[in-house]
Amino acid sequence: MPLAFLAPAFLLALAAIVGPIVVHLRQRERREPVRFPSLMFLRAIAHRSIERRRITNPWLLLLRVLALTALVIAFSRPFLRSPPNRTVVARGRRTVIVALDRSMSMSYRGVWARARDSALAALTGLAAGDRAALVTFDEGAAIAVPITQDLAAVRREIAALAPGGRGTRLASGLRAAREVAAAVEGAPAEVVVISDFHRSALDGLESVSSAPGGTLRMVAVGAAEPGNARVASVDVDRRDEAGKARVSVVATIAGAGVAHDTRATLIVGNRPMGSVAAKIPRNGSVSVRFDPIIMPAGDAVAEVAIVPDDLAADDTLRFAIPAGAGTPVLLLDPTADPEQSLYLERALEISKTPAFAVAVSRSGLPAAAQLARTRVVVATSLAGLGAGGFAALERFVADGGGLVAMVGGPGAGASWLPASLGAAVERDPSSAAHLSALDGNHPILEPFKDALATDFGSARFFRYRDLKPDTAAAVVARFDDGRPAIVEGRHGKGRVILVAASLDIRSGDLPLQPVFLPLVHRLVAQAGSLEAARRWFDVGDAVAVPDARGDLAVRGPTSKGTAVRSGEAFVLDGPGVFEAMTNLSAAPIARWVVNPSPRESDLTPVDPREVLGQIRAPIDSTVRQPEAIAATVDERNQSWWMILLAAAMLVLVLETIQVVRIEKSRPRAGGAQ
Amino acid sequence: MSTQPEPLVLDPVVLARIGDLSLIARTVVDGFMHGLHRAPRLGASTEFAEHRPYQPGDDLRRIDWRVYGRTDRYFVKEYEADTNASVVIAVDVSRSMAFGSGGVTKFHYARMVAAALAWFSQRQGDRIGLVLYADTVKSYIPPSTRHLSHILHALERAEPEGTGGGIESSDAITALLGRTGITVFLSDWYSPPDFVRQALGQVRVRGHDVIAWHVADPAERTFPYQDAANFEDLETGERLSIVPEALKTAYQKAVATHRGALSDELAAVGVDYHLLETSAPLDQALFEYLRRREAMARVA
Repeated sequence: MPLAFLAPAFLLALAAIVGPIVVHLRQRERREPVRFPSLMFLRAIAHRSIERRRITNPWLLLLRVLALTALVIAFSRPFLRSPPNRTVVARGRRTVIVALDRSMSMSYRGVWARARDSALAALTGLAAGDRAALVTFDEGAAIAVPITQDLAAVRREIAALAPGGRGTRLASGLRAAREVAAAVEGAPAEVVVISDFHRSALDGLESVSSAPGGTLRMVAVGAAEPGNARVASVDVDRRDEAGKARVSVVATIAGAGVAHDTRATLIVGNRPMGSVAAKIPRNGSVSVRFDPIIMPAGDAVAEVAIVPDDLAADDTLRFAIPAGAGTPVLLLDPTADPEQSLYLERALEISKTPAFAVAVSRSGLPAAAQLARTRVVVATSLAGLGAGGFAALERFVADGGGLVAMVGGPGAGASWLPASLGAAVERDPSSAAHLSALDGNHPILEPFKDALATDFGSARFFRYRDLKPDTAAAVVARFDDGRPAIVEGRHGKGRVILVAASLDIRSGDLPLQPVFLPLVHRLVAQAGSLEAARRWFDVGDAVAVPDARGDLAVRGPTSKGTAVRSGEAFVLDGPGVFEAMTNLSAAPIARWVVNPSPRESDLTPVDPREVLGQIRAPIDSTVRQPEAIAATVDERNQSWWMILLAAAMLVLVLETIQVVRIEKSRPRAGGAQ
Repeated sequence: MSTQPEPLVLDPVVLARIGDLSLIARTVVDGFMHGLHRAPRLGASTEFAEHRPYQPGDDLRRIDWRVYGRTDRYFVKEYEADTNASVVIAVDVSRSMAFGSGGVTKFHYARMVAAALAWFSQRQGDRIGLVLYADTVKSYIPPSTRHLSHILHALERAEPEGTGGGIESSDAITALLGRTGITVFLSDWYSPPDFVRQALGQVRVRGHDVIAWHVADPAERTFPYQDAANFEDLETGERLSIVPEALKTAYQKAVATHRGALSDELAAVGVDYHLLETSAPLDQALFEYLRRREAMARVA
């Protein structure tokens, strides 16, 4: 077992030993003269001292050199290198189960080659009659080769494997390997887990236990100090104008490990549309803005790619640019008073998540066809709608539409509304009403939950209606006199939200408050049951297959079509574009753009011993790693540095005692009194 | 003769803290006497001093009947102890005596020894005198039975001054010494041994018993210095840059040779030589003196 050092560079500090030696060789001269009774004898022999330069206090020097040496060696972290293979070989036929990580992070430069070599090396000691099995895992696990004596088949399978695009769950691989090992008869199986062991792969390990009596070895093949950059996210702003869409894209590029320069390219429909240079800071991120592009109406799939680095799989982020400018919202202003609808109109126009395509009507409800294309109606007042209007609106809501109605002004209500409209309440500006009893758990106000009083406390209301909510209705907020301010209820498939005040500046100053814009967006989103459309999904996400008539299938990047049913959950199992198709239409009814899990981009390595510590491993579990990690483990196990540090401290104590003794033995300075 | 003293706590460092030299001397002598098994008083004869009127309680045998016959009054004879010797203590007060590595300098030590010796001699009934000298005689008090207080006072006031290796004033001292007696020299003897022999030999030739006490500090023997330094001669101010570690052994050898030579040379002329290190108890000096004094009494 040869002696080695984990930090051999510290050994250079041994040169500092020269310091004490020089100090002890140097003839230290007192500043004050020593007063002596007579120089009679000294005068005769003084010449001898010139030619003799000895080490003074050799024992003290020895102690100092020892202390310094012990300190330096302790910092160099010495250890005895363990034999390269500590595997306990069972007598009789051996069975080796190789669990090979083929997640996306294994495609890091050089890692897969090491993993494959390690997997093949795990089989090298097997003789004829011995058995082997191959388990591959990423987020899930698969038994690529069941237990077999055909070692060549296992080797062929290993050689044919390549890393995929999914994340890593070591627990999956370990469970699969355990199942295979449990089926082994005779001598316990040896499980060899080969992975890059990054931090995000450890979920669920605590519930895993390995096969009793077997041997579990961890082979870490990841880079010691991995550096990686990735396209973390994109922000898309789409504005449709005259049949064309003007799209602005801002991408965020994150770096870990080392800072470097790169170039980001925006690609839409396989055509490069712009390129921007970027300087990625170490362990930070940078945003790059592409010039706006004009693209035809309709949806599209785009991607932002940076120059490939050591982990190329996350250097491209695909995302969808959905057709249209957003969810159709009708701003209904029966009073034809632009001042009353001004703030609402502006607030709706600048929405992004979800985006609204706002149409304004000041002449009553539009035709049924247009109303059918509308998702949410925002009414500044219900006055002047008439019976026909109310009926049309009721049908719209019953069919699944959303209605947000401001009922602060004059106008009668309807029975299908969640509250009946009472008398108008006038408040003097000096004693204006404020919002109170805000329900932070309601979806409308949930985003404001942490600062409800701050956000809404300063808004004043001078005029509002006294709402009498139905028993099934939910009161989202009340005025400070206890009257309901926002009431939500369902009617048919749709949802109605009543706001007791008109959201203009004559009825109050809520439109002038910062909270006005997000509140309006939340009201509309809640009324229309809208969720922000996701531009991309991560590998492993599950989506609901949309309703459609006919036979449904989902086509993925590697599959031509998987039969599914409406409402069924479908797992997006790889990066690329997934499309839901029917046999009745050539065009896809839904599309999901999928990117590798961002967790897989976090390559922070973990000590395989940490993995062993989390699972209920058998007693003879060992960790076999590449040289550097093995050395670290050996050094930690032996911890000689602690002994050396204690020895150094002891020697320093002895040195102090020696110094005190020397000082005491010295005659007092001067001598004469 | 079993006059070996029992161990006494007469640490010179402790005694040096007592400012009153008289008290120091008495403490030393009392302690020393207490340790002896018998009284060391050596004088036997008495000498008439004076008459005084008889007082009730006086011994009738001491009444001088002759005086009664002439005067018809009772007078009692008063006697004083007969002195056995004249003791002169010669103390070297040169600046080299001001050296001390511990709690007491050679000068302090020599002064305490001289005071104790004077006190002891007074008790013996000896006449005591004192010479303080360096390159010249600084002070002289002739021997007398009544000069103890003068001697102690002179010792109290003395300070290290002048130069000298203990022999420069030997001619002058020899001239001062009158009737034969005991002469005790206290010096650090920084002079060539043959010069010391010549100087003290003169005194010895005049019929004096001479005791040469070598007052030395332990550091003068062990030379415990380590760091290179300028060593300054206390008497001349001369400086010498030396590395103690390098010449320690040679120095110790030279000192030992010097002391051996002193002992040999002085023994050749009948002078008693004794080394008194300032770390040694003071009664050691008194014991040495008593031993010599007894020898003289036997000869006489």
